[in-house]
Amino acid sequence: MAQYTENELAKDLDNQDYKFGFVTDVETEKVPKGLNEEIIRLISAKKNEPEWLLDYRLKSFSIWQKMTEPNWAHVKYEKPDFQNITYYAAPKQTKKYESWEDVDPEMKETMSKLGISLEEQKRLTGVAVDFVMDSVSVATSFKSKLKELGIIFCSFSDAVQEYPELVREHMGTVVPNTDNFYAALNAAVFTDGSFCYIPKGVRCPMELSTYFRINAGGTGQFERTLVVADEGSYVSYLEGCTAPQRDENQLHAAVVELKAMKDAEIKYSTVQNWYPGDENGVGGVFNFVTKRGICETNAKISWTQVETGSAVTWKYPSCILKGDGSVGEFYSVAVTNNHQQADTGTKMIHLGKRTKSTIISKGISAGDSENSYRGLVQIQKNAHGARNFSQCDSLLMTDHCGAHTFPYIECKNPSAQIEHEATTSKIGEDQLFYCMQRGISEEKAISLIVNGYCKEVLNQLPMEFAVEAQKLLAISLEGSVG
Amino acid sequence: MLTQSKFDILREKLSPSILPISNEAREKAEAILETADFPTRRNERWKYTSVNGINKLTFDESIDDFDSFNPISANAEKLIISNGFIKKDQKQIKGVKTSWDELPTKSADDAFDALNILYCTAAIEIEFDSKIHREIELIFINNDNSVLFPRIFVKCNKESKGTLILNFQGSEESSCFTNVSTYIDVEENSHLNVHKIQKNGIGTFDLQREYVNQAKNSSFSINTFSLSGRLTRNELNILVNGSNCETFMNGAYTLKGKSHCDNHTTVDHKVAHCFSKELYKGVIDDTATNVFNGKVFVRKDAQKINAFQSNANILLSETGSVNSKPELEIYADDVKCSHGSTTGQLDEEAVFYLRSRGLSEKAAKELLVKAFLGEVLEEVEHAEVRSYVENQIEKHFSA
Repeated sequence: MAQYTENELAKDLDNQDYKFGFVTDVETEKVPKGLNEEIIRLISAKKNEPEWLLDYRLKSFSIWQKMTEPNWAHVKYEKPDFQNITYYAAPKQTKKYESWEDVDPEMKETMSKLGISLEEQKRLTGVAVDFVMDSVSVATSFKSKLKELGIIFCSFSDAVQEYPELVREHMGTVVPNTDNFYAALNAAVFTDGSFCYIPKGVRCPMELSTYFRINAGGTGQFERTLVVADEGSYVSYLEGCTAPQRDENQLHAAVVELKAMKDAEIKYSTVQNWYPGDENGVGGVFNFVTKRGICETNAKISWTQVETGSAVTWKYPSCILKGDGSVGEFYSVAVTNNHQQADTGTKMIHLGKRTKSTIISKGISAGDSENSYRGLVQIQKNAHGARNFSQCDSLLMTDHCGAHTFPYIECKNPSAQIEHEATTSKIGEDQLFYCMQRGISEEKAISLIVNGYCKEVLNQLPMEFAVEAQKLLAISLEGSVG
Repeated sequence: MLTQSKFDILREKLSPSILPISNEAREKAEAILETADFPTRRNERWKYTSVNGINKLTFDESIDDFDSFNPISANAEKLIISNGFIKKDQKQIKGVKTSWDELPTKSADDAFDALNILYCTAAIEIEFDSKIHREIELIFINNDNSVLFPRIFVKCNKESKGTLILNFQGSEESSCFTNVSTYIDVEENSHLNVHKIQKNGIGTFDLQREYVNQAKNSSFSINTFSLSGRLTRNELNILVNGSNCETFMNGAYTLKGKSHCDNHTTVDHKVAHCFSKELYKGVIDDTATNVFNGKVFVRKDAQKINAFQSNANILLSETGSVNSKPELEIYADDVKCSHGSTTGQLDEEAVFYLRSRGLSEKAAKELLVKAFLGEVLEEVEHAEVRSYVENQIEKHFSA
């Protein structure tokens, strides 16, 4: 019998090409490279922004200038040259599309290659897609249906124009511009993103979804997402990414802010598949993202992420459990292959009484990659009866990759209960043997085991997203996952 | 004008060592201290521990001759170090060297180790060299505000067996500054157990570092009991350099008052086919704080490593705090590594069960805490060490 050994699997993984490497040829409008006050004024003027926002950007810029780039993460990369980045690129058409038929056919092509053509989405899944192509949102569907319920779901720049009070009230309250180096940079130069507001007591009837896509070469993308769920409301928000093949490193420094008011629930799911660089570790996206949510009384925020892309990933979706009885959840699968590096995890800050958090993190390292979990669980003095459960497992596929765990556990309250456990191992030979002995090929068996290993997390994803996530896992680990 | 570092301020209060330090070691230590300052929160390894309080201590150098001391082991050969200095007129112990023409040059890249060299109060070399099990106990007895800077070199020769007890006992009210560097070599096919009991005075700052080197087929275990003191920091660095090694680390701590205890352990698996197990447990009361940082490295090609790490804490008061950081850094795939950490309180149902059977609340809690720490004590093979620590835990709660 032709045996499929682990070495062969490793070889296959090494040769695995990036599947979504194509560039859409759409004329883009860019501002000159570099970063200074002028550029920021230019971006602000191009987007026709009110003065308070320009002031906020300039203030963030002066804060950013005083900061130094952090280097504590377990990743190695060449620091980006911030003066060599184009901070604004918009598809050239300035007029808004009247209907779906008016959209540039080439762009439609891109979307169908990604498997998210709007027609199909509209017809089959009932998902409203806010498609962000290089910073300016191109098409927004289901808007009218959402409007009936009072739900606002639009691009960030539209929100600035149409709902300035809401944006001003909530922006920067979860991730202030002083928070960290990349958050400050984002606050200064962010180009677009999504804004979502769910009014009191409304349960959003469909899953809201945004596809981000880096397109023009050398364009850093600085997205800003703000989701506000008012009292008693519910929303499930999906975010997915694919990026075309490039040789130079692209910087992606997004900020995501979630606010769950009293009794509200936000479910935020991400499938991330930025270009990870080729098998020699050349090129690839730097993904330095700040994601954070605040939970008021009895609110719940749940982060689910499937990370398969990016050359360097550095992100910690966090929950501040401020209100009594609030709940934070974090489910993550991070796959690294070739020379990818990931330092990811979460922070759960328990402030309120009876707050609960769950962390399930699954790391899979293959090739020469480095995969780290770094998490913080902090129980403050007044968080009586707080409860945390963390589990981080790592799976190693080759003998030249690395898997690391750095959990920080800080407890200041005697009634809190914190549990943390982590394991690191390779796929069990007895499990493989069991499957093969029942006639399943080794390749299929590995796929089965990896899928089972990630199941706890994949189960958390909305159905149609879970299918895509499984596809991405398969692409990232092709040869092992059928 | 050059600003004075906190080390400079400290050094003005200490009197230089009278032991024969080699020039090489002295120069290296001076060079380290030249640029060093007390570690701050920004230093990841000292994120939760501040040593600034050391500079508030005042020292005196009266050498008291203690009449009584409490040995733990009846069978062990004993060496007494009183207020940091080796007690005069003691019986010579075979394999223990205390007088020097020149101190060994071994040193680490650490500011407190450099300080230890320059202000060393006693240097002790211990050699275990026979298949017949030997037991040696070092009794560090001190009172008032003394300074203890011992350097200890332990060698467990090929195919030898040994037990070393490091018994630190300070009088209850004392505020000493203890700074210990211990270098341990565990050679091929040898077997070494170390028991370290830190029963310090309530004002004492105790900084200890162990540097352990394990050669192939060796077995090493260290049990650390931090029972009292103002600040206790143990840095345990174990380098496993040979295959088929076993490493056991156990620790228990009982903290109350303003105590701060910090255990930093590192196990570095450089070669394949080794086993390590770590278990640290403790209870934290009053405004005490505990820090645990365990690190397991598995280097590339160090396959078939089984490494387990566990830390459990019980927080008894509203004002105490626990910081736990168990880390794994793994570069080989055919390994089984796990770690776990828990922080919680006593099970209310268990307390209720005991109370419904007539135990007072205090007695019930004491019993449960003893059972909780009992898991660590079970790992201790030495009966006398075990019963000594049990007694101390009992005293800790009755006080």
